[in-house]
Amino acid sequence: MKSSKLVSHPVFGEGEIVDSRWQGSELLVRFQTGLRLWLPRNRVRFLFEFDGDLLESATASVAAIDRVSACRMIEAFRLGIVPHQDVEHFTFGREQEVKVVEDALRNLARNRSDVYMLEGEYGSGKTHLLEYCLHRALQEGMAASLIQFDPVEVSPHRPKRVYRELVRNFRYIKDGMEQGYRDLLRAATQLNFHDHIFFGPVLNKLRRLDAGSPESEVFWQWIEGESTKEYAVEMPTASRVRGAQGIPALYDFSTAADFYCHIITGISCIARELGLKGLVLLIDEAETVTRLWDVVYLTKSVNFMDGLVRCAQNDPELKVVNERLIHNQVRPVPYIYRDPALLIIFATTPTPGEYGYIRLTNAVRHRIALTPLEDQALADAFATMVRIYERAYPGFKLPIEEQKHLLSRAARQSSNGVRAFIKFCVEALDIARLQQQGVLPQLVANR
Amino acid sequence: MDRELARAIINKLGSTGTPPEFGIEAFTVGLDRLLQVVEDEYLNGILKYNLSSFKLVTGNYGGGKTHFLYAVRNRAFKHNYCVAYVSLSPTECPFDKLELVYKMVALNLTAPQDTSRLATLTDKGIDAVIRQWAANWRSKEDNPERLQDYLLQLPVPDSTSFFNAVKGAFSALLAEDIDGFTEAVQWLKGEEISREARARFKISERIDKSTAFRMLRSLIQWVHTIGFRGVVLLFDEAERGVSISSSRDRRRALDNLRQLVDECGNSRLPGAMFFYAVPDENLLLEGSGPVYEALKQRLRSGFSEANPVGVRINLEELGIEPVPFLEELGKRLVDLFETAYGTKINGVERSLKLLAETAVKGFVLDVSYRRLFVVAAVEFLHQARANPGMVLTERDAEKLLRVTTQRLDRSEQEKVEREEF
Repeated sequence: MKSSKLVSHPVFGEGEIVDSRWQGSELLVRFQTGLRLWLPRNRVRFLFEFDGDLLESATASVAAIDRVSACRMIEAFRLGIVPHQDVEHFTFGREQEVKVVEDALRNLARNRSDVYMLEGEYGSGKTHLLEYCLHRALQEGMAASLIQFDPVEVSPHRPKRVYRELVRNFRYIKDGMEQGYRDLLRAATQLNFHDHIFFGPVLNKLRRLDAGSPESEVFWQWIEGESTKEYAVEMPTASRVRGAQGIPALYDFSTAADFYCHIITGISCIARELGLKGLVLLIDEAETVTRLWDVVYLTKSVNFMDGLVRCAQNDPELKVVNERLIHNQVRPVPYIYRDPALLIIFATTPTPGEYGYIRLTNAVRHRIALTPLEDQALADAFATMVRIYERAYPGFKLPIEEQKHLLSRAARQSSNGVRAFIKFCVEALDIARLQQQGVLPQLVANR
Repeated sequence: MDRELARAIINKLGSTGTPPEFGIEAFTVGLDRLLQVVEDEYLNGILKYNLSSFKLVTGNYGGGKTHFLYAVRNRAFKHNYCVAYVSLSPTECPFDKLELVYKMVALNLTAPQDTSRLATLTDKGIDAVIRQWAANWRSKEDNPERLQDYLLQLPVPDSTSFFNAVKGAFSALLAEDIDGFTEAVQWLKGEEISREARARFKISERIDKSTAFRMLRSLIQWVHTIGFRGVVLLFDEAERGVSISSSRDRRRALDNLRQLVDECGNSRLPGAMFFYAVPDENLLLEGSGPVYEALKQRLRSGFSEANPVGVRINLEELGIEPVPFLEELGKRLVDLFETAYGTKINGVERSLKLLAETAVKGFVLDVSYRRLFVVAAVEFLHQARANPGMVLTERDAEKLLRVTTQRLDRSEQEKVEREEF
């Protein structure tokens, strides 16, 4: 884009960037009033002049797409989201980031566990890239699970909920079919994991379990982290899991980080033994670690995240019960089981003043920072969006000159993030279509 | 229109100015374009493909949000959608407590019904939907084995417990086991049930804040699998402003909303459409911090124009100026009034126009000039019926509107005090 040094500030007006520091996070701006100020980068809005002619060299990447998929994508674009099933068809200008991810997946395939942190402002495309990682991991023959932290439903200070979410979203491809957690454990009954504190007895029980019995469903629900104690333990019903199982409970307390890290590393080992290339755990909204208002919860949350990071780094200190990390007091276990085949990618919005975030970022060695998209990537995305739109609404056509004009306007929105760019494009196309249909008056559009 | 129905509508409009649950089409003005687009693009469009959508509806107090939501509900019924209209409030149903929101959705879930007759929707609630589901099956299948096969083949929604509970309620109903049905429904409505009952139906989860979202998802998935096209959920923000009290609760509520929006962007809510109506989007979105920013990016519109398929539907931008809008509304009210009382009210057009102009000129910045006009217009029509040939002067119109404002304020205050203290 031309004139990328021009910025606008809500109070000081327009100005020009004359210097930067702290890796570009702060900019020295000379405003038209003569004022010179150092400002955080995110406090100014970049003013771009975009060349709409780039559209002529743009590549629309969606070759053949059915109408339902097109409609799904367009509706998600209206919300500024790319549907996860379509993410591979709609990724632009992230070649470098994708290469880092591909390298990480290749390393995992060579049994090198690791952890990465994907950082970017809201709307910069973090979730999108995580979805991309998920698809690539599944294609490469890995087991994968994408979970989104949430302060209420899936908070890191309650590791059991994280495990339950991991289980729910757990996927891998075998013989061209998508398989889930139950499939993995059924296959694992052929393996020897007697030394795993949880999977040892669980697999043992599964080997003996009659798949059709009422007890079976209850047991599976229990394995998956649902609470079944009401009818599985105390009630004398047909579905009761009878007798002592010798299986440790799936603890619901927040100090059980060791237990769940042990299980997660165990899952990665099972995956590897079954011929998969390891486990890829993708954690979105990882900054949730900082959003806990209770300091005790925050500490436990940070501890679990620390444990996860060091598990993925295969830290030898975590292969024994380690006093420097929090362990559950019922049955302390090492955080790491054997040599895990685990790749973790956290996606976060930088929150540099927060303790939890600082702890997390200090622990992770590899960082991927999402920067604004290049011009050609925006043009490619726009061309693709127009093609999808035409597929979703057969009969709709927008002349190329109008497309160029629209792209130039939309590109100015991109300084507010990719999400704003996508929303602007799709809304502009909506308005153009509704005008063509006579639903909206022409004068509305030309404002 | 039926005289009784017309009279009921006039009574409701004349007392509070809030729309009745029935016969709303008789006095709908300016919403046709929006409703038609909602119908064509969503109810009869992408929701058919098992996709989902979220819309933020904004409109001033008394600006027609509830009216719009009821009109959407009626169109949704015509296309075989279940609908739940939920009025959010700080005490009973705040959005930061999703478990309470789920409960209200379960309580208000309504299978398609005729809304043009004089009745409030009585067959509400998840129990009524299950009853209808069972009745449909009973009428076409009485072989227990085949019914069992049908239940086995139903896709399991996100929560197995939810699925077990609806299956349990369905089976209990077919077996005429009323106690069993009641117990299963009690859990589905978010109430506590005995441990024995949970064991019986294999319900392993509780409906609390950590599972509420999953239950909501499961409810939507289940409704879709039992033969309805989907679910339309109408969240109406309480008139007194944001239904959330503290800033911490507010952040939670917004985070819930953000999660809901993201779910709509993906495909885990088949055939679901959400409408969230607020008086002013700024009350909802103006704030700092990650939660606000995340939601703002999703819900803000890039254009100021009224785009009926955009994520924000602004009822203040209907493409019709306030005075012509009220004039048209006045004409509809006259028709209704004449039907209701079997009489002809002549020569009131000029008075109603004056009332409309005065309402817009003097009260457009006040809360709910539209509602004010409706109540005052009904009052005037009563007077005109008693005194044929009566004509309003500008001063009369102002006085009528002022007295109506005071009356509405008083009743609003009483309502607030009744609910909150």
